[in-house]
Amino acid sequence: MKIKTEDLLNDLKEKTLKMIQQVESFKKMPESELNYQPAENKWSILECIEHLNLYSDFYIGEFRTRISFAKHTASEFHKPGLIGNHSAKSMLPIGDKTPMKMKTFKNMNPVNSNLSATTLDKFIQQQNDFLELIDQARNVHLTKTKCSLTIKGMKFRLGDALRFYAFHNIRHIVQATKVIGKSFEF
Amino acid sequence: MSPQEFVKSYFEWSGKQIDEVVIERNEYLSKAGQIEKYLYLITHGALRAVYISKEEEFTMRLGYKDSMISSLDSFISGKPSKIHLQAIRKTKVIRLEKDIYLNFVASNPELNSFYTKMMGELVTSMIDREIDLLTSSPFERYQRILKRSPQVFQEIPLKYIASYLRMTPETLSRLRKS
Repeated sequence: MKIKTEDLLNDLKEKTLKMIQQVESFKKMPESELNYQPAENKWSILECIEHLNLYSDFYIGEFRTRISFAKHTASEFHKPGLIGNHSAKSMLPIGDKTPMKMKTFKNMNPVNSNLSATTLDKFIQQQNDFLELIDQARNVHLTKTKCSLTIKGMKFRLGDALRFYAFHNIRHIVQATKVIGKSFEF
Repeated sequence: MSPQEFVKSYFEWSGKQIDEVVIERNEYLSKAGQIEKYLYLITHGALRAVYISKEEEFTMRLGYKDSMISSLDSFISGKPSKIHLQAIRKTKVIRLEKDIYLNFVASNPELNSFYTKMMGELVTSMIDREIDLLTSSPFERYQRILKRSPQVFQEIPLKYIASYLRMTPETLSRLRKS
C-alpha cells in the first residue's frame, strides 16, 4: 500500500487549517464556557486543547529535528509502516463514534492544569509551526526518515508520524467541539 | 517494530528493571491450572506450549529466540490455563506483567492499535495451524512448516517438531531424508 506524498501532505495541511479555524472560533467564547466540564470524567474544551499542546511540545521539535537532518530527499510515494499506519488511522473518529477510547498517560493528562484562553493561542501557534513543517517535509523522504515517539525506544516512519500527530489533533478537536454540542467536519 | 524494541519501550515507560528469568531444560515456566500473569520474550533457548491429557501430550506451540509467548487462553480470560509452558533447553525469558502491559498499550495513542494488530496476527496464525491439523498427509504437514517456519528445524529437536506435526519422530526423519 502506498500514498502519494503530495496528497498526504496536502491533506494534513487542509485538516490543520480547519482546526486552526475551529480554535479561533473557540477564542470568541467566554472562559467559563471553555472550562466547562460536560461530565465528571470528561474533558473541557481547554483540557482537550491542552492535551494536544502537550503532544505538540514533543512532536513539533521532533519533526523539526528529523526534517533538518533527513538524509534522503523526497520521493513521490510514501509507504506506510504497518503499526504507524494503523495507529494513525485509528485516531480518526468515524461518524459519530470515537474509535478506541483510551486512558491518558499522566504526563499527557491536562486535568488540573491551570488553563486559560492562552492555551488556545498556544495551540494556534504550534499548528502554524506544523504548517511550516509540512511544507519543509515536501523535500524529504517520508518513508526512509524515521521519527521518535513520546514512547522512548519506538519510532514511526516520518510520513506515519505526521499523520498520527495530525489525526490525534483531529480526534480531540472533535471531542472539544462536541462539548458545545457541535460537530467538527474534517 | 521488533519485539525487542517493544519490550525495551515497555520497561522504559514502566520505570521498572528488566525482569529476566532462567529456566532449566524440562522445567516449567508456567503450568496448567495457573493464572497467566505475563507475556514472555524468549531471549535464549526454546520453549513449548504443551497440553497434557490422561492419555497423551500434545505440543501445541513452539517458541524460540526473539519470539513472544504466553499461556494466551489464561492471559486473555484471566481463568486458569489449560496448557503448560515448558523449556526444551535451558531458556532465558524477559517477563512483561499483564496489568502494566495493558496500561502501557492503553495509555499511549501511538500504540493503541498495537494490541488489535497483534490479536489479528494471532488469529491468522491460528487459522494456519488449524489447517495444519486438518491436513491428512504427513508429508504435506511437514511441507507447510518447512515453508512457514524453516528456522524451527535449527532451533528445536526433531522429537518435539514431530509431536507438533502429529507424527512419530521416525516418520519425520524419513520425510526429511526423502
